[in-house]
Amino acid sequence: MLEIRYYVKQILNFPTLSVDLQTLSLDAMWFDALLTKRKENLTPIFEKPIDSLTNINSNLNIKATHAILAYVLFDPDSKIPEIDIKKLRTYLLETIPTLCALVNPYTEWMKDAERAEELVRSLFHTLDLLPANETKSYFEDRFRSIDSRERIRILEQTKMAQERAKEILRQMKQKEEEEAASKYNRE
Amino acid sequence: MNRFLESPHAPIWNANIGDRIQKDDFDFVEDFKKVFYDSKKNQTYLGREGAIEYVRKNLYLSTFFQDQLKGIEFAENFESIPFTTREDLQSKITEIIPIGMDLERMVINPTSGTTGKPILAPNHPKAIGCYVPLIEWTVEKYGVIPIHNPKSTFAIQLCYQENTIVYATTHSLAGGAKFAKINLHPHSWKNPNDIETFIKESSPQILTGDPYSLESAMKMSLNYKPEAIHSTALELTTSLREKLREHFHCPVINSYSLNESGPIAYACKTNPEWMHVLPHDIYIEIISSETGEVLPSGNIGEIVVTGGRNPFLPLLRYKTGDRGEFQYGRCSCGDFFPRLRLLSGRKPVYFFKLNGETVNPIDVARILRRNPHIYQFQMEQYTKENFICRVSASNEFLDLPVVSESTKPESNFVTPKNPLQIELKTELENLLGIGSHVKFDTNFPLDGRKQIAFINSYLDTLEKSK
Repeated sequence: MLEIRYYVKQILNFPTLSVDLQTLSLDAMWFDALLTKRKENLTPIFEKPIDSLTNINSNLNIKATHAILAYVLFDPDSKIPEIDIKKLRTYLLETIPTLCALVNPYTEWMKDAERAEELVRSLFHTLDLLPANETKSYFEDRFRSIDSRERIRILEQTKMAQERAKEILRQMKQKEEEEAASKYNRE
Repeated sequence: MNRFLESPHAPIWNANIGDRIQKDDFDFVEDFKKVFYDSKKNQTYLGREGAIEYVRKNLYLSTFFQDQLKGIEFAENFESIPFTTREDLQSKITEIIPIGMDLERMVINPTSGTTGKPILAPNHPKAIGCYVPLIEWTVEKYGVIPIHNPKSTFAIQLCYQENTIVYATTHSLAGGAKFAKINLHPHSWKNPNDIETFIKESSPQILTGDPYSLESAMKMSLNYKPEAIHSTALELTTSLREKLREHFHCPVINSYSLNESGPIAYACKTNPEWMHVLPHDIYIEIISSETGEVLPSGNIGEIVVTGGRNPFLPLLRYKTGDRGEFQYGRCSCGDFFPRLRLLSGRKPVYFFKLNGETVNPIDVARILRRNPHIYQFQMEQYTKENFICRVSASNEFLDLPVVSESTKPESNFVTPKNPLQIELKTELENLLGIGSHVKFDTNFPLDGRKQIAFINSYLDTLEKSK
């Protein structure tokens, strides 16, 4: 298993100009990529043709991200071992659309090293792969620290906390003006 | 109640306040009362274990608790929990209030403002409702049997202020017994001669108030004999207690109560210099002001409080700013809850107008507390007509517009040039009477301490010269 920076470099160097996203067939691309990887005939990896899914096929960011991931997996020097096709399928159909909603346009994967690392780590995380020279806890810590979904979740939480704080202060000010509650003594 | 409100001798009511108790609150207070009375009977005071349970319960509700307890084995080492300061209550209140609290039920009772740093303590009607069994238990200890009847008046709270709210209500937790807060100041009455008549026709079982108002009632020769007097908010000196007892012919019960927590302790019947911890759900520690370490019995230090029942303000090793001594052990009065002796508490300080009338410092505090630019303050009367108001304030308040070079500063103190300062100066001088002069010293530190807010060095000088 190669170190993570190898895969990051692969993403940063992804040959965008060699890909025509408009005409790219994701079904064909994944079939070829996995065929090359496994050197054997495969049944299609998707239960129904992914090209027929308009939410994916019409979204260039998602299509390009698929292409980048296939490039990483297809790379002949890659030391990625056997992968779980079922997990990959769920990842491509469910996680990637979410990630692409947060990181776009897709060129961000290639311009920002941290985003490139995020994409690799999210792939590895899904497929239960561990890069060379990393412990599981280091991998998870690092992934959590750069995961856009986690970042957004924290931001949302902070925003909610800020809104709650604002509401508390507003209510306190209002309650100070309003009726108190009667009590026998004073402090 | 209408007879009470519409009496021809009634004060000029200016507020409409009830106990705000709903059905759930009623049940809560009833449960609290039962546990409290049982605890007093069985002498089960909240110990360290109880405090740990309380902390554990709040750990998952208050983000402030989570921050304070991060990485601390609090169950093993309670004393390592960082203190909560008065400043925390001001600056981190939104983190302290437990998550999911219904803000609609929050109430803010105005503080009497006898210390320099006001705290807006949020509270819940049900926690304020718990004052009823706590205070009733206290007076029962002195032989008063509260009458829970809409025809009876349990208490009248006395004030002596230039300006305060005056109201009458019934307390559902006291069986509908009536209660009123009245102001002895002549401003508050259609005819000041009505004060005594109104109190007599209301016939309250007890009178409550701070020592300043109780002393004022005595000086006005109020001829009424309640079953007991309940004094709070300021330090009640032994000599005043004796004078009040002689004048009103009844026991005078001193008590220690915080807006943040409610009643904490009441004077022991046998030895009134000491106060027994009142509720069963408050854990008290005495800590060294220098080292922050918990001091053993018999040592004087700052009073630190954990627990209580204010759902908006769970207290985690809260430094009260008050000093005292703590003692465990049996007491001949029959209450074996630990005893507290308060030291250099909130002594009442009065200011004087040029015409000799007194001014309640609470009126000064009211003006300063409501001013959004003032964070912390202290007021000193240093001559018959001169006052210094020391403040830590907002930049807006401190900023002085450019003034002409010919203006020479009169002294080390700031001569108000800023409209905000001029406005405050006018307000204070109106209160302190014709001929009074107020200057500002804007170098008062904002350090979160419970500063002595009122000083009358003029009176000290007069006493010395005598």
